[in-house]
Amino acid sequence: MANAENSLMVPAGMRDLLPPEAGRKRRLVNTILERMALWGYEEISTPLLEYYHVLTRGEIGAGPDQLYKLIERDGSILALRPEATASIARVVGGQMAGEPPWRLMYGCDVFRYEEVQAGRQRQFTQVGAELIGPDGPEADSEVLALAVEALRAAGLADFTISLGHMGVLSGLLSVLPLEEQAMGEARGLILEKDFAGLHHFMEKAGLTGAKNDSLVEMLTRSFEPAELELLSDRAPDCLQPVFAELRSIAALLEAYGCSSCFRVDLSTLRRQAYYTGMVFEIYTPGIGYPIGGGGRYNRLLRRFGRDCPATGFALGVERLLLSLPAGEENEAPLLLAAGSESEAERRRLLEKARELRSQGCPVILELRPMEREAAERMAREKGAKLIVWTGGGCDGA
Amino acid sequence: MEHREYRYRLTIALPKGKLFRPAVELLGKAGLRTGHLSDEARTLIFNDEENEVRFIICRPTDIPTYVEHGASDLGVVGKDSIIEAGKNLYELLDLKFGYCRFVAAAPRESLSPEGFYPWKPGVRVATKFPAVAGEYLKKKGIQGEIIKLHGNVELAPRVGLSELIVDIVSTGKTLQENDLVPLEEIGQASARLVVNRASYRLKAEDINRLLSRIKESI
Repeated sequence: MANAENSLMVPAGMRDLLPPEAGRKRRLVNTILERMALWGYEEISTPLLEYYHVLTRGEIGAGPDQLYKLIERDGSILALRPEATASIARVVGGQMAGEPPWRLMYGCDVFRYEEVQAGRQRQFTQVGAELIGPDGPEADSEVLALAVEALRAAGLADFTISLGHMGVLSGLLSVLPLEEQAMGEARGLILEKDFAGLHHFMEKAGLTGAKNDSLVEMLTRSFEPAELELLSDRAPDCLQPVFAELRSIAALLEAYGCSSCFRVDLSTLRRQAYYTGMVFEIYTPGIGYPIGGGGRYNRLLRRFGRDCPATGFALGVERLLLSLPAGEENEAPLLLAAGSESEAERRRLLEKARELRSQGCPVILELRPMEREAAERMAREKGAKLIVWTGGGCDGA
Repeated sequence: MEHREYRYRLTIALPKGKLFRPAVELLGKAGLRTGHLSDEARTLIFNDEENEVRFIICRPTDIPTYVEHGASDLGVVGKDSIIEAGKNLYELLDLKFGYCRFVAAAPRESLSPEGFYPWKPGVRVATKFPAVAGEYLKKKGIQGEIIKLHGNVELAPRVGLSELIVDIVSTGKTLQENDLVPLEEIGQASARLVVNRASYRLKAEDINRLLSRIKESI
């Protein structure tokens, strides 16, 4: 629809990033990737467009109706990637050379057709990491500590990571005597944190009693990682494996020196069906949504032909930007403005600009002759320090 | 974010209208200072300095939005508004007041002598709850048209705007007065305590303390 009314608009859920915001975002992504590279993570980049069936095979992080779909000229269905993990699983399944483990990281735009939220348009940027190959608490704690490191590198001071485990869901459901369909309903209620609905549901299914109440009560627990040991004695049998795993992870986080960033919260469950083990969500004051999350997904790679455990996380870059203090801008540039059209002066200006730029100083060069007043106005407008070249030396601010 | 006042431990959104009084009473019983709250004053923000709680008063249908975005940590809102808003919230508690039912209703004269409604494709349904009404038609397998209204839905069939209505009913008096007959109950609703996802994690202690006091008061 190229009519006049739309010519200045962008589609719903898309937005332009102007200076200085665009630069701020680029620097944030770079900072995080550089920090993760210090942990031995290598960057991977996958196409924006994937075959629809590839993405749905991955039980993607977005429902099929949240995908932006389009038709390839040969008739096959394509979709814009809604996240990076399924695409990375496809690459690892098909063409990754060598042996695991692989430590991979990415920063890319993803697309989801969903209601626009604070800090999340329909196109948004994720930066994340995947540790593919090893199972166990060592890999999980590495990824969790890396998430902390990434957030700190970004400059976020105040955040909490809620640590949970998908085994809570399967453990609870395994002890409830429910038919398959009712199981699906209970799963939905637990994932939605519809505790009022869950209570009604249990009453209707005749599952009242103190034992079942205390099971549901487990879901609303939240405690320090250090309390895990104490609480695991009191946990029901169906949750013992979960507690054992979380304890090992917590011990390693302690060794990493970052356990103060964590709270164990058994209600933390991720919607993506591919998660199998520990899962986590990152929260910060002032933002009503998680700014990132992740977890262990041991059965996803199998769907792409390489049966191999994996764990990872992604951060929402726009949400992270919203939660960071305004922060420092790039260094203010210098404005070199010509006072006349003389050839000699132009050469001196060019020489000076070259010299300053080679020292890493940003320079705006205006070779067309300017009145001093106009140059000053422009410097104010661009946030630049003004240097008018007058032949012998530097003038201005 | 800058305008948030961190000196309050919790912000609670309360709905104007019929859920307001019972919500205020319940929170009062749970130990919060709610005596000065009113949904008729011009003031939309009230503070309970003693408990460091701030109350905001808003339209019932806006409560899910305030809570989803984290402008309010907690909210009291009817299940009907939650379903219709389709927001990402956690429902912590059924507060057991404000009971009502979603029903589909038709004018008495449109029913067959045996009392059946002759369903036809293309049926027009007037409602304040397009999501609920749409889901209802889908379940019945009937194609129809949803007409969104903002109130007094019972008027629509009388003036030929729609054949049916889907609305919430507490006593059924309004239906009766407009000669409308309930065809079917679609679902039930009552007031719920909802919480923002992030607040639930970041303010777990404050929220759980309040939650257990409310549970004791229900």
